Amino acid sequence: MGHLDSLYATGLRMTRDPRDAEDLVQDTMLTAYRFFHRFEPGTNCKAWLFKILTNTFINKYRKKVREREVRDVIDQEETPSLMSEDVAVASRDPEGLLVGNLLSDDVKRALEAVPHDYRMAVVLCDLEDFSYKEIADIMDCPVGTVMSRLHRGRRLLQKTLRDYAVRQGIVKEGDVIEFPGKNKSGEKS
Amino acid sequence: MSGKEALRCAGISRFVDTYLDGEFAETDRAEFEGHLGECETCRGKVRVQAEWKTAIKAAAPRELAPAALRNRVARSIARESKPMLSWRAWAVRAMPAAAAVGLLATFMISKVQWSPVAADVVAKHQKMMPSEVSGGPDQIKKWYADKVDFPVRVPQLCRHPTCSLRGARLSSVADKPAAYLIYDVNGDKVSVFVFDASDMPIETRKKTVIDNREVYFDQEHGYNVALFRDRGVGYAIASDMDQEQMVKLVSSAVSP
Repeated sequence: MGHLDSLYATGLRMTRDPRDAEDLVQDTMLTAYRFFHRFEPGTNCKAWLFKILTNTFINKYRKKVREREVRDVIDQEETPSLMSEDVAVASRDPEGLLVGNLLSDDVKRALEAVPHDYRMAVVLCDLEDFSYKEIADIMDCPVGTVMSRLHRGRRLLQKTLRDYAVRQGIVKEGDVIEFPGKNKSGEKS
Repeated sequence: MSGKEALRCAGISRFVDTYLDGEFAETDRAEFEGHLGECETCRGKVRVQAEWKTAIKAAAPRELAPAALRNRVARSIARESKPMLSWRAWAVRAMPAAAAVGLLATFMISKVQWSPVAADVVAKHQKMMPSEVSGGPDQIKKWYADKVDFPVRVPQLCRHPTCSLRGARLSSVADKPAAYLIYDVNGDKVSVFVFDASDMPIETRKKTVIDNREVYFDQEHGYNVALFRDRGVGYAIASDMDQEQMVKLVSSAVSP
């Protein structure tokens, strides 16, 4: 049960509800136990468990979570573009004021605001340290899709955190400018 | 900055993430770093993105699995590894005739064949799908009358108080319409699919004869599947019971 903490933390980010996260992890562990004979020794056990977690979420919980979060737009969102100015824009934090002052609660809240598929790409890469190949396998999509989800997810996360920081007066509006336009990012205003 | 250089920066800055994630092939990485060496702007972008990556990981809350969850998982796995004594007990008491038929039946290897049905029904059995209708066998049969073009005779699995017909829904087997009946047998889910079997191969390697009826068995993802035909209509039963228990279940389904 070595990966239980990671599974639970990720389950929480998928379901955004502690009770659902517990049920999801419980189902995942039971499925893993039943199908342990299918695990190929020598491959990454954590990645295998995360794939089961993801499939279980899609099969059993996604509908429920969707119903709860009516405003969430998971699939309707068009494939994000890889525009170079996105990087440039998110990069402007001249004094390091923003990244130097990240609060745990803000990161949690900002992550929850990112649409599911983009959020999961960021969580799997930045928080759980999976490789692109492993994420592609877990999310059952091509590596190119992982890259675009990661790119978009990170920029959305950074934009959300920047908005919080501006509101809290940590940075001024002018410090970080020209974030991806709302029309281009497909966000609902 | 010249126009050519600007173009190069634009092309390269798309890959800041890939570079920071350590996902570049060696040659690409060398090229990328070569450009960074010459370009202050791109160096800045990389630096800021690297700071973001580190800062988010550091600030993201690390929730630990609650002790109650740990216990719950351990308990359910322990339960899973125990044999289902209660089922055996009632089967022996309540269905001696059927059990005898089942135990006497011998498995024969028929011609090697693969049925697309087993994999499909197990995939559906594993999912939690809500019922669209519930009630007695007659009610359910009637509900299907205008939905599928074959008669849905609800098999009599329930000859014991701890078995119940939970409900039913429209489904499919190998892309053809099917009735999906969901039973609860001693707390275990049993899925029964009823479908038009006229041109659907259900034959598998493991064949047995129960009550003069050919029944085929298959295994998929650790679940057992029993397949048989009755008057042109196909039946597939999926559960995680072992084969002996499945034989008993099928014998109660096929006996008149």
